[in-house]
Amino acid sequence: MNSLHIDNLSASVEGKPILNNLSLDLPKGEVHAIMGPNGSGKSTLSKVLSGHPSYEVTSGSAMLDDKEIIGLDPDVISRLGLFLAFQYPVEIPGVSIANFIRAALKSRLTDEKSFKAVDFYKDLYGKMDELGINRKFTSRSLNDGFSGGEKKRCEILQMMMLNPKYCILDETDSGLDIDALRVVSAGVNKMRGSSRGILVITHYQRLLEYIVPNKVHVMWDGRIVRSGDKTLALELEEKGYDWIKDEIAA
Amino acid sequence: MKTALAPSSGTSKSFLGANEFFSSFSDKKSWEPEWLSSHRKTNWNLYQSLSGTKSKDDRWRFSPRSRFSYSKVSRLSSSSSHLSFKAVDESGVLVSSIEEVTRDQPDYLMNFQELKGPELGAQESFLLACAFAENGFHIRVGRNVRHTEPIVIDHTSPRSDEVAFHRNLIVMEPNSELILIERISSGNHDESGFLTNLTNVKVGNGAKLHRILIQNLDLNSTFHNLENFEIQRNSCLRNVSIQLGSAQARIETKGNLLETGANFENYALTLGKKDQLIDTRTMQHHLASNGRSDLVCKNALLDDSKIVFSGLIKVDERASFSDALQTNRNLLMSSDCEADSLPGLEILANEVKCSHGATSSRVDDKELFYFLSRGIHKSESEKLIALGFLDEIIQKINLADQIEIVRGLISGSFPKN
Ligand SMILES: Nc1ncnc2c1ncn2[C@@H]1O[C@H](COP(=O)(O)OP(=O)(O)OP(=O)(O)O)[C@@H](O)[C@H]1O
Ligand SMILES: [Mg+2]
Repeated sequence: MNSLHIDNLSASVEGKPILNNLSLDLPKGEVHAIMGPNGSGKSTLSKVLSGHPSYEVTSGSAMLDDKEIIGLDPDVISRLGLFLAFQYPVEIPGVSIANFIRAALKSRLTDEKSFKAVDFYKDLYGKMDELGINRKFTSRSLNDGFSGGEKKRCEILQMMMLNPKYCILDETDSGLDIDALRVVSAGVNKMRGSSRGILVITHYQRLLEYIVPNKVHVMWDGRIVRSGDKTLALELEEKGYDWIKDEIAA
Repeated sequence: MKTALAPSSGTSKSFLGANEFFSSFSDKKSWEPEWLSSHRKTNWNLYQSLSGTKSKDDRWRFSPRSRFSYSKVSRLSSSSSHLSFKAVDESGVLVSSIEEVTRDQPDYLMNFQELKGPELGAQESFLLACAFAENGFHIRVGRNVRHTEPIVIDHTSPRSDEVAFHRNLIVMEPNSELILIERISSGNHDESGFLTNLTNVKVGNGAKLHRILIQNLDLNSTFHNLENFEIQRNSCLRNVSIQLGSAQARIETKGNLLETGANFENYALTLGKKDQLIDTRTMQHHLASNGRSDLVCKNALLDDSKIVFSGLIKVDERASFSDALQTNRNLLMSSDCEADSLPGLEILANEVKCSHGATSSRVDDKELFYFLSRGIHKSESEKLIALGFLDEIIQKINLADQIEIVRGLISGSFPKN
């Protein structure tokens, strides 16, 4: 199947259950949004899918195009085609953006010699221009001293350079100014297409005006409690989460 | 339980202390001027009178001293090929070998007799270098001469059962400038022995020396490196030390800020692997006012490697308005590596700005996950993290081609995927 298919996934951290029988199907060609209150487990889901070693998967599965990714190492999952744009990108002193992305690209090559530096820089600069990232940033240490918005742009830059099959954007919109939101959304929209599935995690309906989703899911207490079309986001914006809470309780 | 110490591994056992050996060495050196033979003799006598390895010597704290013992070698290398460089004698710059200088002008180096070593514990190596050095380079840069092209000196270690002593002297006359690259590597033989390098530097008023030392010996060698820097009024010495190879290396570096406005920068990195031992001892000695010294020593350690860093900032009573910094950071990349840090301060003056700090940490899990999440293999990720950690020192080299070479050498120390 051509999808990222999550089936009854449960995971815990330090013995504390966070994901609770979560199921979700993200087909290629679609953009899905996940909304949900703080602490409901959205970032945990993204990290579990990326193979983060701190989380223990207690049951369920996640298939990336028919390949089980639960239990695989994070670098293997990434090379299979899953990309996570972090909610809080890590600062890496002494490693430049260019060297970092180059290493990521090279890790995907069977023959490192087929890497063409000239093409790489052309591609990199083109994408930096699109995202409004100053070219001077190429030699700066990755995320080191970057503003919140600069870090988020840089996550999207990496995503565009690595050309993944499935992308998870964890609150990429938080910290972006109004213009940056437009620029970054345009970048994401450019990546939409039949060969890629995109999952955006957000608190704000505003982002979904730029990146219009095929589906919206509501996450609550470690699972998806409701799915609908983009109007669900509007409804949440209007009524808040209490409404869902009442419904679940009922 | 450890009982009485094993018999001293020091002086008495080494062939270097034998009377017959010294007299036959002296015979071969009969062409040398009188002052030099008596200088050799004096230092050899002092070496002989050393009482062997003392059981408790703070200057060797944390260091398994026996690993450095000269009893492990049995011959003095007779080859003169352990040092190579392009000789220069023009436009105020002289680059020559000690031997050549002595043949041409027998009394030129007479002040060797007054030169001191760093005196941070490796007295034995100092005396032996004074007694037996046959090789070495001398650089003199004349007053107001700015030599922009870097001068390159290559030192190579001898065969496994041999020791070679190099004794070097750099004199920067007032307002001169120089960039010096010293490369320390092993020759073509499979395994190499001991290389002991003693360097004295005088940086005259207003002069600037930027020295880069890249040590990439094979993992059987033993490296003793002693350097003593005299830094005069408003002059500047930047020393960048890259320690990558050798089985064990003892590095002693002392900067004497002799006159007002002296500036001493000492930047060092080590990449430790296998069961390497890199033992670094430094002193920033402020003897006059308004001096500035900055030391940063960063070490990334793999496998069973071990680093000792001991650094003293000493500010004499008359050295007011001194500014002295010292930082030691260790990145522990394996569970069996070890880093021992001994920072020290001895401040006798008022109005002094001093700070020192030492930290050791492991690779940050979040950082590693970030690399992995981009598909970068674990070993490659660790390599990039180490290069990133060491980058602060690498950049101090300040020469694009040398920076690339050093990055390449560091990369090569990590296992391939
Ligand atoms: N490594 C961890 N150790 C302990 N608790 C954790 C860990 N990771 C997540 N949690 C807990 O799991 C819960 C879900 O956290 P998560 O970050 O997934 O929430 P979220 O939905 O992304 O929230 P937000 O909207 O604030 O980003 C929280 O209660 C959090 O404290
Ligand atoms: Mg989150």
